[in-house]
Amino acid sequence: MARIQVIVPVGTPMWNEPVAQVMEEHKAQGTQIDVQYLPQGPDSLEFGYDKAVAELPTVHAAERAEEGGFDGVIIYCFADPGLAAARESLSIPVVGLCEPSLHIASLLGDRFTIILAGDPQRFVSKRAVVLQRVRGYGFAHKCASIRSLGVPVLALEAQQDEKIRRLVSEARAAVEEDGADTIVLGCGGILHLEPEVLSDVGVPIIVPAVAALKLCEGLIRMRVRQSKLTYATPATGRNRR
Amino acid sequence: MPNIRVIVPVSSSMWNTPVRELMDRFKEADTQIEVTNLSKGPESLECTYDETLAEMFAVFAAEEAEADGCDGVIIYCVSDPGLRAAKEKLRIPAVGIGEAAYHVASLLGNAFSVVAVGPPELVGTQRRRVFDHLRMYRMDHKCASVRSVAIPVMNLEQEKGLQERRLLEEAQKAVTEDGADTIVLGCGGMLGVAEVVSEKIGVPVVIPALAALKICEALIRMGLAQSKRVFGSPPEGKRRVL
Repeated sequence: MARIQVIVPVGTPMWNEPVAQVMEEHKAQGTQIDVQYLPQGPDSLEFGYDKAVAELPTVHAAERAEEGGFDGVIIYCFADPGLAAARESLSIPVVGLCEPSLHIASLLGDRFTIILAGDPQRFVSKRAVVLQRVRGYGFAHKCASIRSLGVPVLALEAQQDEKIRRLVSEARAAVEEDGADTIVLGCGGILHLEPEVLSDVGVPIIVPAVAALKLCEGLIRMRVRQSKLTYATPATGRNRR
Repeated sequence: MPNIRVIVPVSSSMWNTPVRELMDRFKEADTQIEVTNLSKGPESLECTYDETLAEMFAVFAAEEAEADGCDGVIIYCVSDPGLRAAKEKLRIPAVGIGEAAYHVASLLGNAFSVVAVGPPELVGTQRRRVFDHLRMYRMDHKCASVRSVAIPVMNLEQEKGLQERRLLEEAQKAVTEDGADTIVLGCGGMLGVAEVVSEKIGVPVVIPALAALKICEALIRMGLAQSKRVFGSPPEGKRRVL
């Protein structure tokens, strides 16, 4: 029996239910999922600034999950806020959404396109931030392009039709114009996608929630966690106010 | 109920039972595992020559698995023989234990070392082969080093004690001398030796069999398989004289 704490690193409970739903649908028999949000934090993570604000409470939530006896933690945001810090502090596996998605994508093809959510006005800045992260994971050479739905994160749930229409057209353009062979959804809030929508484009579409869930379950089952040589436990007894 | 066929791409059946036992221990409750070996081919794959001889038969076995209604295929050798051809030919996910292991290792740390097996005179060849594959997967920048226990594959089972001792030595050197933070076992035949290494050396040890099993189960569960944009199906109706 594996218990996984999913931390949605935002200050709104609006994702708890849809995230719990996608996790329940795809989890293995014997996995128990608990989804929580942050008591304090930004409504959504669309800027480097939002991410910085979310990181500390996310790491604390991860620490509480380990104290509470969970076997693994998923930080439920494509920006992977607090991921490295949580890996340092915790002795159970911690995964984000972006990193597992890129691994699954590169097992399935040669070049992936990431489709983000967010305000179209801010796309260039967000693309730069995402590309930095992709580089950090060592996947820049596998990234065909980064595109956007142009739908702000907080509007994703309400604008279901627009979201799907834009997703299909951006995914097709990624394949035809950018040479992508695999699509990665670049936000944990791009949910409620029917299998037909996902198969319509004709290339694999990776839903980060499921990639993260499966890899977290896998690590727990394999009884491995982040290397403590690289993610050394922070020294205790020091003042961190 | 996902049905996974594990193809051990050698002509020896000696691995079928231990591999099956290992997979059964770590699979999800509703996964079904079958393990087969090749009817023809080398008894172990210790160089590119062996690998090349095994590839065609491994691909045929993968096709047979799909024809039999399996949901996924695992090619059970770290050199992933026939993996790319199988990805082209099949619509169900084809996973190699090498590729899967490298991905899991890079989720756990910054730099992994592969500890391979094979005759002492082929240690350099193992290193070159692993790097050949890592470069193809474009993951060579995540590899700290390739070392070897220098024991032939066919001796692994009877020389368990020596294998464990050599693995501990090489893994320790990988960590202290090469800067590795994660160890990848470089052969599917290294069975029952991972735990002692992770305990004694204190780094995660990736067992390729389990990495492949978990990734194959995940892909089946996600309804995903290799992209046909880059693993296009080979043209039908063409003569391929064998």
